[in-house]
Amino acid sequence: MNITRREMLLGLAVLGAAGAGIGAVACKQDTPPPPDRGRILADISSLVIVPTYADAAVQAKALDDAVAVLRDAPSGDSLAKARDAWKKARRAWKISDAFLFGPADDLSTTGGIIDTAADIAKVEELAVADSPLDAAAINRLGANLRGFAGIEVLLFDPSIDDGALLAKFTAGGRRGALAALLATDLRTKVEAVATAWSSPPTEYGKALSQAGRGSAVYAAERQGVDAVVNALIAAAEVLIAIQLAKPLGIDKTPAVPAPELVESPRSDASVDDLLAVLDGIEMVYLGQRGDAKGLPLADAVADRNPSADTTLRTSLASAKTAVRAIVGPLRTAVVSQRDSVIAAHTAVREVKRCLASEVAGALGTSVGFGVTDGD
Amino acid sequence: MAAAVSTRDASRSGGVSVLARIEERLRAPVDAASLGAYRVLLGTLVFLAVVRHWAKGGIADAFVVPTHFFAYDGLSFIRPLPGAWMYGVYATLAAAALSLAVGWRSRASAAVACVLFTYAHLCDKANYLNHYYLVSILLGLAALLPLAGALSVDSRRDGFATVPTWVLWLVRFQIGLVYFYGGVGKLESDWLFRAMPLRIWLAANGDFPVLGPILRWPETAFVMSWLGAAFDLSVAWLLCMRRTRLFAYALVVTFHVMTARLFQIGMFPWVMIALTLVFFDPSWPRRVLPARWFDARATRRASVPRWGLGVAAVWAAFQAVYPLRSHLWSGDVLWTEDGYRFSWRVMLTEKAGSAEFRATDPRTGQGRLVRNRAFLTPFQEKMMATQPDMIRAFAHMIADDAEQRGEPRPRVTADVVVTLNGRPPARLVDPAVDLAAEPLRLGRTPWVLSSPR
Repeated sequence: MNITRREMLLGLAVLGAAGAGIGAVACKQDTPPPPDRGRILADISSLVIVPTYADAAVQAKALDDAVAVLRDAPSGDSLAKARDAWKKARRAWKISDAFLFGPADDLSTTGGIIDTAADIAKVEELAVADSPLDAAAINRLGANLRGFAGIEVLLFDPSIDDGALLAKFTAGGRRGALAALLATDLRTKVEAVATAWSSPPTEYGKALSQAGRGSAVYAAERQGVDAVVNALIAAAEVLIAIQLAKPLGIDKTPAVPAPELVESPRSDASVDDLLAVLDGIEMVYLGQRGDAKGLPLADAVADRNPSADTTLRTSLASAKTAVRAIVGPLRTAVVSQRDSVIAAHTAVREVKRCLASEVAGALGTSVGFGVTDGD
Repeated sequence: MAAAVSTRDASRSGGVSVLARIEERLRAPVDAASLGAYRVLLGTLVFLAVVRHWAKGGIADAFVVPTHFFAYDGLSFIRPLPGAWMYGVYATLAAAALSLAVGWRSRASAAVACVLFTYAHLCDKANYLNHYYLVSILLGLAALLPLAGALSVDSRRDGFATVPTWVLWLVRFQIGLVYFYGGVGKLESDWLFRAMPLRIWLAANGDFPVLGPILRWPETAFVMSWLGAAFDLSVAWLLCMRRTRLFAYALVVTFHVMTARLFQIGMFPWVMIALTLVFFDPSWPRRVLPARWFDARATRRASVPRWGLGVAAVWAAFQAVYPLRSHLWSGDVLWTEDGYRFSWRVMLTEKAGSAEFRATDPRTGQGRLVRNRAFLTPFQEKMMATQPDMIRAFAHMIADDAEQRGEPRPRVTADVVVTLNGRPPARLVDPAVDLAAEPLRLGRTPWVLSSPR
């Protein structure tokens, strides 16, 4: 049978028309256009990520100032203010765990120094050593002696009363000097990340906002959305596997509680840490920080799969409720109130499960075509 | 009776004569020029792919960073070389590809490239790509077929001007098969009547120049789904026919340039755009390239053993049948993935999953949650979470690891939830089954739960 070019073209046109017809029938005429993902990324960047890092930098400066006061004039009041400043700065930073990509990840040294578990014994050792203490010496310290965790060891010690701890600040002044140097170091690092997001030359916030529209980092909008969603999944994964499963000991057989593995163990801010990360996930998902509200990622998810959106909102609320319901500090709860911590772990698992399956599936950020069908 | 015998004899002799005519046509000589150009393009593209993969850090990501690998069934002895040795493999592969492109010891170069390329991609099932499979096959064919008659260093000492027609058609068949089975795979309900997964993927392309907002319309996904299926099913045939060839090639270029921009799929579109040139008249390179690039003294036919045609026919038959193997088993191939790989099913699924594993000590009954990332890279974990055979393999990894640490072999169960093409999540595997005790099965796996479709 000879088929002419005209017949071929006609055949293709008929098939195309059939597809268009089915599409027209299948889709409601009044269906609103799907949310603009470019605007979603821009709003996440400008309303959530950049302001969060800016706030983290402000809080880090407040911590630096408060610790300087403690160093110069140790007292119950200055210690309390320094601790308060530490908790505020800590919370402001932990929110950013929900979007740990870009500068905080690329500048891995910086990010690692900001938030790495401390070697408590070594920090205490350093606080009483006689080695020289200056900015250069701080720069040479390992990540497990610096950052939030290092400062926390110096400002908090639940094993002794505040008077005894304060006495350590007054005796010789080395503890205060070390805390002040660590706070300045932390402030510098946090400011570096905040600047990298907001200002040239990197201006990472702009790179994310312009994904697929001239961005130097993200050639396609899809890559920007992938980065955001994968960071949310990774944040939930860290909550489950590192911050909850390890202290609970449920990653081992037999399950032996490991309270020494909780984050922020001396300040008992572990539960606040968990809540801050969940808040960060929610902020990104809803495109909302305080009163500032942008076009949410949630709309793009709901557009493709409304039940996925509902499920994530519900599971996020449940996870926050379950974390708040942890009885007592996390370090004791993993031993004596395990059910409450296991309930929180289960609830956060639902968040991660929903993000990794339903949300990623709705947004097309799974492995999909890009991975199995091309390189 | 005599009349019946006579009719049968006539029909048999008619059948033989048809076969003889087909064989005669397949053995008839055709210009070797287009296969020479095809060889140059194949070698060049493989070389560029290696350079690109290296530059993007793909070698480290695929072989150096991972600590565990998903071996293909029965090929667990194929493991990545340690550390920097894989860079040596890729460097050799690049050299072999370049050697193939310039046509220096073409068959040996193609054989080396085929072995190394295939080896690299057999190290880890997580890295499977349809187009890697295609490139392995094409390199293998390049090692066996006479492709160096033109545009090659080899042709200066051992040039030939023509090859048997079947050689050209075998290459065309192999490339055309990718399109055809790609189209056959699209004749299913999700693609045609839900425009999935294109609706999801196109919605993620709002930044596409000019067309961005239109791509987000559901109607666009339907139109593109149907046109995509029509393209895949028809383009190989259209390329084969002289009158429609140019039009078909324009479609090929348009289609692949669009998919390259929409889906960030690297080399694949360019490989197809370049290699489909083999469908043009076998002499096309002589018309577009300078005459001095061709050795005018080469006039002989390529020497090909007579049995080569028979082997090619068997290979073609195998290639035509093998992608259909999933139909031997019940179940939704997009869900179970039984027979999914090596079947040219492209662009058919958007899957995302969450897989949680629990290892239980058989002595005490106490279980622990497994941290997948302790074994797998994020990429491997993503791939594993939606593919049943990799889920089983990961359960075995967990159990093997426990044994290596001196513990009794644990029961490993998995709670895996997967979304397929925008559907609500569904459980993929039976959470009560000890996957670490599950043997390798051919075809339907009983512990894979029913498809949500």
